[in-house]
Amino acid sequence: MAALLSVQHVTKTFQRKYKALNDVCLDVQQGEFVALLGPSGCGKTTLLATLAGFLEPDTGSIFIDGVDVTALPAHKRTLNTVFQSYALFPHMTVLDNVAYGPLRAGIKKAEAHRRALEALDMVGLQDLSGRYPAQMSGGQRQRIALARAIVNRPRLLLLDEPLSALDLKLRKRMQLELKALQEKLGISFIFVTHDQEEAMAMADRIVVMNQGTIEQVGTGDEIYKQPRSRFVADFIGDANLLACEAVDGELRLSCCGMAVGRAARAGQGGVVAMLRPEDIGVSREAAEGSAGVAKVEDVVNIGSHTTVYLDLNGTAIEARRLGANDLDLQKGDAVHVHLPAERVHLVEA
Amino acid sequence: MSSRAALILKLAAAPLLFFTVFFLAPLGVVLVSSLMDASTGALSGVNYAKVLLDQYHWDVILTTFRIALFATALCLLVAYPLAWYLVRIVRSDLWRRICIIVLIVPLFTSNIVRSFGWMIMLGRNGMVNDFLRGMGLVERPVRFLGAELGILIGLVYILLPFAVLSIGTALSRIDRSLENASKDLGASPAQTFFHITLPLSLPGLASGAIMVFALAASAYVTPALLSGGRVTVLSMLIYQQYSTVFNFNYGGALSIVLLVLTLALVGVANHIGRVKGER
Repeated sequence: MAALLSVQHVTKTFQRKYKALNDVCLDVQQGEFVALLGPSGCGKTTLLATLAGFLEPDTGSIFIDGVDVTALPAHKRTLNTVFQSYALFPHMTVLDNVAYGPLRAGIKKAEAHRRALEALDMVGLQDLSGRYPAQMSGGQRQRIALARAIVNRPRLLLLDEPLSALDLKLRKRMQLELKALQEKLGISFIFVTHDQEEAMAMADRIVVMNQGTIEQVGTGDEIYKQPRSRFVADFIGDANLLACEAVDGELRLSCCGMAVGRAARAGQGGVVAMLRPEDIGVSREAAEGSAGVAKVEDVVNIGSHTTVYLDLNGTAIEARRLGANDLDLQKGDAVHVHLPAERVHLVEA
Repeated sequence: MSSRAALILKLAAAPLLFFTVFFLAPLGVVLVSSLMDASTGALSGVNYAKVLLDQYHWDVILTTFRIALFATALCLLVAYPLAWYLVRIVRSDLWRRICIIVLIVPLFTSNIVRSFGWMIMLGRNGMVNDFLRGMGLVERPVRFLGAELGILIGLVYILLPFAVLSIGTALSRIDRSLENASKDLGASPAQTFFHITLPLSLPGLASGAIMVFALAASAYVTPALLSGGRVTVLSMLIYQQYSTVFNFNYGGALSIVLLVLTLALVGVANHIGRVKGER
């Protein structure tokens, strides 16, 4: 199946030196929910702007449905955008905001209003169609922006951090609603976010970006468990990145000497071993496979889980246990640390 | 009353006093004298009757407001592209600053000097006519001086900065993502301008229009110098009454008529600007 959207070798440079996008390639399938994830300034919003047609790439091409749209102005592209600021027209009612798209497409007023009401109904705001955006709450504005963007039934919807202005509770609810809406409409979403939890919760595939390049593309699970680079390992979730050294043809953790693989895997630049905090065991008594005795530096209990900061032979290690602090660990305690070799993932240093 | 409110009242007292002494009091004097018969000193509406029942005055009023309206319309038409250029097209901050300075500097010179400048420029053998004839656009020199056209040119030149600055401010306040959203929804650049940018810049357009109109309707120096005595506007009549005829009562009535008519038109414009632009 041909991709709905195909981005090929797109490069965009600002002020002649700052590369916002560097040889970006990406395919998005019909009906797919893709998250563009990265720290601020990584180029994700620039990529979205080139897709929408607000920016023209320096080199490379963008295809929608196999048609080259690289030089096509924004108003001729068959996709729609939900803006971070929502960009609702302040001088128009909610209904006129949503009907704007159909009206510009040359649809008669009555029909345009009918479609707008239908779209507003989908986001549960049909009753408030006569109000002005300034009279609406943040969550409602978000929904209006969404209704306005889907009213033309685009096959591809771009969302630029649409939930970033909402509080945590509302954001979580909107995440589920957005996902449900996307599945119901069957349109592809490209969702820009800097929140990895949000990306993991919603996206079929996550595109991790850093400094204008794509670091890794994969499902949330793949990116979490098998990060391809140190940046991805570090950016997605919390990670212990432990130094390794080759000893007698085997790769061993510097902190405890545990074997984690063959030395040949180290490659040119060397590797680090990544272990997620929740994979690391902590116990009072020595158990089989213990990596050694570590000192407890700090314990943070937030109810659902407890994070224990440890010092193992001079290496800082973060361990996470589900639930409260059931071992009653205190600062300064000596505990046994268990580093499961099978959970270790090696990434380039 | 809290001490905070008392403090605010004290702080407001000085400007209020200033406003009363230097603005309201003279206006009150003009109003009262306009309601007095010049010969008897008794209260009467005779001055107003003289102003409003005379066809000549209505002609002058019509001329005044026609010139003011045309000047306003022309100012806005010229100012909008200029403001657009300054806000949307100029990339370099330095160049923008230079442009704004060039725009504002004429305001530092006297109106009289600038109007004299235009007299020289617009005369029978002035630069403008030389240029027009040199280009072969006209055969005989165009009469600018002593005609409304000359006054219009002078007023537009003098009042343009007010319109440009107020429209420019409105344009620079428009969130560009709104225009992107419009294009994203399929609106062409022209549709985006007429549906989004223009309506959102209306408050600036309205405030610029009000300023220009009020200044144009009450302008004295420019019409007086560029009219060559052939065109009369209300402010010239008022000046005559006060300085030559010394009929302060009749002059007062003319002033109040000018004030009321100007305020009425400004009120209408203000209303339109608010309804369309705000919310």
